[in-house]
Amino acid sequence: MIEREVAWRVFAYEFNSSNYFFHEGDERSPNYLVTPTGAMINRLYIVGVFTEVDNLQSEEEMFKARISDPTGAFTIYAGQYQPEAAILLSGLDIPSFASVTGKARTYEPEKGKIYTSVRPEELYITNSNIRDKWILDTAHLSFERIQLVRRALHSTMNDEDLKAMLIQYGASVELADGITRAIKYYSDLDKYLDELITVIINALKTLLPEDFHPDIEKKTSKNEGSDTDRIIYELMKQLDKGKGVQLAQLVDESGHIGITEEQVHESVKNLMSEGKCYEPRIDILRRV
Amino acid sequence: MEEIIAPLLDEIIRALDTTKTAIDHDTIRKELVTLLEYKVPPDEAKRSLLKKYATNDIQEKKSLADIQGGERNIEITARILNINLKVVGIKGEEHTIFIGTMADETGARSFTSWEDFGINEGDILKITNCYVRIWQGMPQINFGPRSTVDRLDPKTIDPLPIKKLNIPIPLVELETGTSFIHTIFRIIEVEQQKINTKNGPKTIIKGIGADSSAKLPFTSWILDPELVIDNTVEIKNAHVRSWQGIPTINIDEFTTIHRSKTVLSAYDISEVLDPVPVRLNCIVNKDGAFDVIVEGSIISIRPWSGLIKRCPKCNRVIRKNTCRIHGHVKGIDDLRIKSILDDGTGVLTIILDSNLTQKIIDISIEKAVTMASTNMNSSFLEEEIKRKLLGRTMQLRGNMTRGEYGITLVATDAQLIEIDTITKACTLIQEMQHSIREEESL
Repeated sequence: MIEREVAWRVFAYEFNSSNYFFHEGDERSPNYLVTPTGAMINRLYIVGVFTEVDNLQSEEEMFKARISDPTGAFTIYAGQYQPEAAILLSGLDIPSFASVTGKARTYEPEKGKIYTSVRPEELYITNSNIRDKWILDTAHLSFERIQLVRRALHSTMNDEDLKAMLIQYGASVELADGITRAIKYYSDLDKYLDELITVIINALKTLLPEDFHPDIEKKTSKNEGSDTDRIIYELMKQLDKGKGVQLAQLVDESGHIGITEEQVHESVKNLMSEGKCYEPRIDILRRV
Repeated sequence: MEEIIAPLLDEIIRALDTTKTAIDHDTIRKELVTLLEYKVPPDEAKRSLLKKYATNDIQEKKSLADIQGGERNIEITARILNINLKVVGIKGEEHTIFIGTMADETGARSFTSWEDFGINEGDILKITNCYVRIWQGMPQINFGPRSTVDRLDPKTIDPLPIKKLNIPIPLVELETGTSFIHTIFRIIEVEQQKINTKNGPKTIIKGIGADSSAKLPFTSWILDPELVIDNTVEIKNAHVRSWQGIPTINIDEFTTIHRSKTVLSAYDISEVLDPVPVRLNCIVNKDGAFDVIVEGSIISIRPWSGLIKRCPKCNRVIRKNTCRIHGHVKGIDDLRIKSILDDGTGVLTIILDSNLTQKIIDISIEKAVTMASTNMNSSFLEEEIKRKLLGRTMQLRGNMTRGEYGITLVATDAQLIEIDTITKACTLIQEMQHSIREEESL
């Protein structure tokens, strides 16, 4: 029995910057597109907005469409072998929310120039709630992949040990394989991952209402809060030898300059709610 | 040609040597060349010659962990962990057989000896002409009159490591098909059940055990006073077999059951009792999973969802009132949803029964029947299900099994999940921004 391939979640930005397509084994074994974060895509699931549909007036009926997410657009081709998708595309209003489950495809018109596209298996009209949830899920899973790739980049392990470590950190067998391949194939990954994170953060910001200002920005602003808060904040930096500060130590040190334990707790609470420090482990504090 | 023949011939002669067959190298070489000239594949040619010249069956050495079921003529070297005599009726005659457990460095398996070889516990044996059959869902070594049993000197051979068998193993590590397991669990559900066996009615105990790693069903073929609710029991020499696709601890007359010295409190097992959703990549590589919670997107509704008809005799889903076993029948109306759940890390088929389908789509079976007859279309409901569910996030609880139709979860509960995207997006943005800073500070 052949098991169904998982449907990966990637943003268009990442999908379109992927150019590592491979096929191993006999002709019946699946093709994979490996993305920079190691997603090993045979099948993918997209929810976005149709922004363009063209009937390519070729010999056979063929539709080309673009389905967009906040980071870019996927190109979709549907022809005579995808009759249901083709029929739906032929009568589609632009724009409309839709979901697509499909197979990753590539087209290489000349050496080194690879275009990615999706051949739909199932295509449905949907709504903005489902699209929003997809953005959230895709951001979440992409971020997890990014963190795993960073771990892999910092390690010096051989392939098998690396895969085992990635699985230990929660990667699926396929993802561990994909990451091991991606870090060898793609150059300048560190820089790319930074770009991708910024792109994903901007995608997530589209989910927030326009007049909504989360405390995100506050984090960087300084010169807020009381003097005590500032002293505690400064102490945290001085005492931190790289692994955070023990709360007990912070209380001790503050005692020497006349700050009570209650005041320390109060300041820590303020600093945390302002997003200036966090508690990586219980009773350990660290500046953001 | 020679580079194919030479190694192949070598293999054949070595294999024939093990059976102490007198052989003429030139004859075998000549026949091998003929077979290859006839374009017979090398493996087939080898097989053909072995079949023709071997006076005894060629023995294949196997490790206990590698046996699957159906193998014949294998050679096993293992230590006997325990052996018990059992009298069985075969074709109306009483017959004494020996059943027990043996272990090599790869694992432990149960065995049946159909002859009295005078085997004792602790013996290290080399047994030829074994065969493997699946008994109660587990591969089991069998040997009898055609086998030879050689006792190996325990001093000259490495004592097979069985130390790990003395350490109780957590439930989550129990695998289907293993024998002689030793584990400790707290009984969280237990009941007696009367079943009919070949030898008449029998009372067995069925229940669920839990430790801090997992919970698993168990079946006991003996009535033991320690098997009561909230007791922590230590079980030795039980085996794990697959029961309806789920690993189940099987306790029989050779199992020892003690009240455990270490007591698992309700607190120790609380995380297992109130499971949290697991990611699909954590379970889709397993043989089965008992009572798990999963969450993912409904990305496809499979055909034969909605209003279906079942055969009144065998409960199979039927079309046009024709069952493929019972022919023309009057079908019984039923509701179900069969769909694909995918969380981006793994994928499985989920099945919702009539009650859960009614709960999820908020349409009763009576209403569904009326709707179908007014619309003159029974797939009307399938469309309605697609409209309501595609793309939605669903959380389900149930048992996951792996079978002919792939990985399936039959739901015992299901609900659609609403998500506060704004809050979740904020948290995620903060986490991501934090990771940028951390990366910069390195």
